[in-house]
Amino acid sequence: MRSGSVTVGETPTSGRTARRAPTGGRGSQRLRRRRRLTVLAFMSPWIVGFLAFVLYPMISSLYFSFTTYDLTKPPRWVGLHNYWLLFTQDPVFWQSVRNTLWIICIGVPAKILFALAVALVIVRIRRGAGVYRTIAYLPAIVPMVAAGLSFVYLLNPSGPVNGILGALGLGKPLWFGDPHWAKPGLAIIMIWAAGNTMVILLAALLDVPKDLYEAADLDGAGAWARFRRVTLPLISPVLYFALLTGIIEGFQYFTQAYVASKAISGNAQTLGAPQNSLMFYGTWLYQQGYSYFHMGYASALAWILFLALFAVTLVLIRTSRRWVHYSGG
Amino acid sequence: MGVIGLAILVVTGCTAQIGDSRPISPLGSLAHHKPVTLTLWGFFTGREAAVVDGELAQLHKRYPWLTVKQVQGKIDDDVLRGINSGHPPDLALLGGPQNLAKFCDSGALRDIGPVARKDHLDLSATFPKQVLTYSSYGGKTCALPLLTDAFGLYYNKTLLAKAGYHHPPRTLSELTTMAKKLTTYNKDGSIKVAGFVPLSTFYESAHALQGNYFGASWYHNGTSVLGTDSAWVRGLDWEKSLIKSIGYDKLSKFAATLGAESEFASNNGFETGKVAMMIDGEWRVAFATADKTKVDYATAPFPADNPALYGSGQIGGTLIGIPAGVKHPSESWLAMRYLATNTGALNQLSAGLKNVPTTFASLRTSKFSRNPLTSTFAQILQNKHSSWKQPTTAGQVDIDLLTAFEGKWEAGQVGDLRGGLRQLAKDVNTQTAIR
Repeated sequence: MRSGSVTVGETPTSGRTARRAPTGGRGSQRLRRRRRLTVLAFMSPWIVGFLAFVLYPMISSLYFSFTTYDLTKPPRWVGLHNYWLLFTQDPVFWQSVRNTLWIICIGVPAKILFALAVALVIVRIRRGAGVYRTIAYLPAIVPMVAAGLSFVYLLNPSGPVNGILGALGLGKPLWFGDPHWAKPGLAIIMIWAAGNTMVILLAALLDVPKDLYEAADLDGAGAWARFRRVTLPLISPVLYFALLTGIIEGFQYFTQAYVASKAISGNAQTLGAPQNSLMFYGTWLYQQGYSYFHMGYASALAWILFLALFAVTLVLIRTSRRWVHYSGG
Repeated sequence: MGVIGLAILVVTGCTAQIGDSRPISPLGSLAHHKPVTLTLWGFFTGREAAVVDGELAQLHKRYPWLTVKQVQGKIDDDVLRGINSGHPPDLALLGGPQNLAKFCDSGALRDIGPVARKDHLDLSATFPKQVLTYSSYGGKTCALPLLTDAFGLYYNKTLLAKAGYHHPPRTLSELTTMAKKLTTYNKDGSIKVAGFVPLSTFYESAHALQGNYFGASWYHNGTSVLGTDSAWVRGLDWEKSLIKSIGYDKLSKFAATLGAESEFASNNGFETGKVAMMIDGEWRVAFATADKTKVDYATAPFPADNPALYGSGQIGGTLIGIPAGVKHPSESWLAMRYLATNTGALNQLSAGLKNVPTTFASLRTSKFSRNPLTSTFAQILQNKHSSWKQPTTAGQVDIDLLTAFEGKWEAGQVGDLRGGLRQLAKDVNTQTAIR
């Protein structure tokens, strides 16, 4: 270490103290221990929280995933049986996987594209931009349960949306009453509530240096070329963030599906209606854990979800180097 | 590794077996006792919780030393968490019988059979057998029925009379004939008035398809017989033929247009005259009165496949039990016995909650049994064939799987019904085995 340099966790004062008390001295050791204890004391709320609310539940659920455990009897070790069951014997598991992938592959990109389109429009508005930004952002602060219930009403076959579609001479889907239209109905809610994504994309668009557009103009670039060669690369870190958080959200998709299927189901106990078209991975996990008390099985589902999410995140991080452009290297 | 090992030890140590073998001693009718406050966890909220509070106040008047405080909005898994945490409620209400077997089998709810005998409460002389069947499991009585639901037929007298019918259908084939005749269409072919909507997602129609009305069984020796009991094929074939004769798309559109949310709103399809006949619980009478429906209607047992089954129906309602680990089990028993068996209390609860009373005495004396519209349901409850499906530790999973299967069957996505039912039975057995 160079003389006078400071390592992480040390203050400049510590360097001076170290010179007065040679390394290995009893005073120095005491001082180091005290410093470590001070650091530990400041970190202790986080450490306690991490151990109690993250690590312990994770280890618990990992253990439970290898057991049958219904909360009423002690867990019984069954090894990989739960994992074998869910991959080979549980048709609802695969349906929930397909439904979740639909939301990730269709719903998430649609939401990002919509947010980007809105941001591109708003960024051009000169007068009253604040009002438009607020209007576009507002749906994001509507509670998801309220939004879900509102859309169940709006998308009722005799509701206002179908009224407009009918007036335009278009078909009138049954939306949440039809297994083929139920997921697109949820995608509409996702798109409608894209305010958060829109705001960060808007910030990224405003951050693109104007001189780059001027230079592109001088080079004769058209609107598409400017967007493709200037805008897109410069906002790619934000697009990447939106994609990553969107995919994580998609894997854990729950609230709107729960609300919609409960609201449209004649039998109040049924989740996933119609015909399990709204049974997502999160709803099936919830159903197993909290309706059927299959905590061991639900834990296995949770670990599969965690590992899948971890793998996808890792792939995204690795591949992001190819398409995400970070200014300044 | 050491940390993980320690954590596993902690995890396993925190999941001790539920159980409570302390005897519960009856207190008799004590006028004097050290003051005791108990908690009652129930799923009721709002107006319904106020009705329960009213009865708890009456209990306090009778036993001034005993106060029972109701905690609202607590469902079955809250109760289980309370028991697991070592802080159970002194009394727990279960929303229905679906989890009773699980709670009973594990000891999460105390077996109150012994204390009932000590306290000279003859359960079979107090409660109809039909409700005792779903409050017991494996030879243990883990709860007492505290009002129940019963499902029957609601029919629009005016619409039936216009079509030339002066009596409700008694068999499923009569229901089909009448439903077809009573269904009218708009110019565009859509349904204007539905005679009967058999789709499992429509209001309470799923209850018509859970076996009672075509004499189907769910289990034999703990194994699903959905794939082997031919009554299921008969019942689902009946449903499909009715759907086909009206049209699945038309029925789906009609049901979706009404919207499931209309079930408990004043635009309910039956209450507005858009549905001529429907299966529903006894509570509909109270809703129809509150909504000031103009429909002239009556109630009857739901039609059955076999005339011998006519008059019976699906039942199943609230249960009250004593969780394992409570501090004052004897006092809990006193309060539980009062709420579940005191005729005055039960009649008040029945009048307030609009559910079927569950003791012989209250079935004889309550207003519920005297009102011609609701008395149908009191009679359904007492029919010897009325039942909740066989209680098993599977909980709700079998009903959910059946409902999802029926949805596919109705939509024409199941080509081979027998094969589909066999697979369904296999899935039910798989889920039951997870536990």
